[in-house]
Amino acid sequence: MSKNIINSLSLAALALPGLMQDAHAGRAEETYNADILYGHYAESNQRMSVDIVNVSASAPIGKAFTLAVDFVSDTMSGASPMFNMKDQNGQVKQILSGASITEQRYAGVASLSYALEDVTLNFGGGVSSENDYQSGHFNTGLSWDLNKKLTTLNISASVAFDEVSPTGYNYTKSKTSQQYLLGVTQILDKHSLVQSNMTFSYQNGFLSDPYKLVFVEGGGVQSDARPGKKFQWGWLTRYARHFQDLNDAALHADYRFYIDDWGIQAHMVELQWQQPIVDEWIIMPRFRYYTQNQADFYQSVFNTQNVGSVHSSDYRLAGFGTLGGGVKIMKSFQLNGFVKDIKLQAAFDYFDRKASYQIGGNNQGSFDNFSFYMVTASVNVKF
Amino acid sequence: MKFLHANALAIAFTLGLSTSSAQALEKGEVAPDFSLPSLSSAQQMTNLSQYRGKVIYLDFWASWCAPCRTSFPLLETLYRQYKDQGFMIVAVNMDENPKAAHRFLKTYPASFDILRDAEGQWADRYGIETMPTSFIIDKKGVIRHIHNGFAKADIADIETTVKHLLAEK
Amino acid sequence: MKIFFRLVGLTYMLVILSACTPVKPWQRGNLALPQMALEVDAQEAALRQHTFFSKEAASGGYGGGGGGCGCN
Repeated sequence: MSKNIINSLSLAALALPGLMQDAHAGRAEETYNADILYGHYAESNQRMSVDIVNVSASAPIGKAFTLAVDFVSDTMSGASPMFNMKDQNGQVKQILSGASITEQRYAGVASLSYALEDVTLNFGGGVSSENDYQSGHFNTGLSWDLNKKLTTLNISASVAFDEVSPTGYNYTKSKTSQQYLLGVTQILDKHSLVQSNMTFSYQNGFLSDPYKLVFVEGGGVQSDARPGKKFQWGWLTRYARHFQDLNDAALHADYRFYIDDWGIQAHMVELQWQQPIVDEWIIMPRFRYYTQNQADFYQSVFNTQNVGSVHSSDYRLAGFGTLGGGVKIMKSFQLNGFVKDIKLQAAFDYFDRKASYQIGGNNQGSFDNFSFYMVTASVNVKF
Repeated sequence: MKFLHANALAIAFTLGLSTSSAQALEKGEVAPDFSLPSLSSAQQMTNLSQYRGKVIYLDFWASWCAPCRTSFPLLETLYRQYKDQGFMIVAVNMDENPKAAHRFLKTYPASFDILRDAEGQWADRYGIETMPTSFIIDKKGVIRHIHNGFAKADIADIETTVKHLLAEK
Repeated sequence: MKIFFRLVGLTYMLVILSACTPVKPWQRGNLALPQMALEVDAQEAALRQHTFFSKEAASGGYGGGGGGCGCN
């Protein structure tokens, strides 16, 4: 106490008139960033393929603000599943839409963050537009460093408004989604850290897929019809560990448990190994496994007794598993000039989605199996 | 959701109490004298008191610290501008592996003195809570300013302070 | 019931956290390595999450979220 008084007295005597206020250190990065990514996604059997171009930029403003913008263009073409039916032999078969014309999606996001000494606030919003689908969202988040920055709390909330005006129909339907995230990141020791995030989501409105149908044996086809509400809970835990003796390699392990009130439970495991080689080259093999059981109202085909008022044969609500992985290569250059940092990245991943990969499922057959691959290449520059 | 929040706060509180470290230094205190080896040669020891009579910018930094990439080129310019008037920059490196520090200095060359505090003994004594943290010390050895972190715009304030202290007797 | 969860949660987290050794601010070089960042590449991570989101029923946890699509 008395020490404090003496300190403040001597401080007053030493005060530098009109000079500096105490500097704060919230924002770690003070560079202008420009990132561009090209991606190609393709499914097996001449199904959908997508070309993706993503451009992002961020800039520091004043001492504490950072403005970020992001623009995505997706060019989609190919067929997609509409429903399943039984052939003459009683075998279930998947019926695809005719190969569609090329469709375009544009999405833009902007966000502003403000860094204080221990707290960073973020506000953002964005839009996504397709000829038959419009979506807009707002989000806000807070990240709070505690405990000498060993612990970080993350809280965020977002709300989205979607509208679909299906081609060939004369109506527009909408849905509203809310999502809340609560997370903690904890430094465990000099070599490891863990993060645990929970998200709670609530959707209401038109949650059906206007382009999907269900096949009713002896009763033709009906439109996909899902409940008007959905509550989802996801719990993701991420662990990262550094290995000094293996040239500073790092292991990343993610696990997510998911449950919703449509009767779906899902598990996801992802493992990545980042191995630095020489001269800032890093090679990263990765592996991902996902499994889910089917929604309460899912069936591959229905009959007049069980079709009910709520029903779907969407392959995404079926029971299945996805197994896959790939490799990513990164190279970075650190410079001391106008350009501070350049990073080049390229990745290839392949995934196999099969009904038989589901844990504890009764394999419904191979009629909706497919595989897909993704290739990406990107350049990140810091000024 | 509510109970989780309460938990998180309780934990933060508990840990906040349990990890409080050595008393941080404050403005107006005399900068504790240390003796540290230079980064390039472990045999060559330097005492802070050797610089007495100069205005010192004492910087605790590491190669992995992002704001340090901003600060080094600006500090080098500042040093070249005022060294003849009795200004000195003493940068204490905190890297676990000195190789990383040498690699950093290849990209961001510095002509001021680089020391090394491998055990973190002096970073602890100076109560470092952010990387980088710097102390502006006057000719009499008194800490006149403590600077946490580093943003580009900070260099103007630092220059004003240094000029002011150089003008003091 | 709520109290029970609160106690279990609190005990669980305290056990985990008490197991960690305090890491001083200057000892975080390993954790600051780019390969230790939880988000290595924001653009690619967003693209992957968007892809899995449109092919699987589960989502969430990674944050970001936002922006629906009429994905088939």
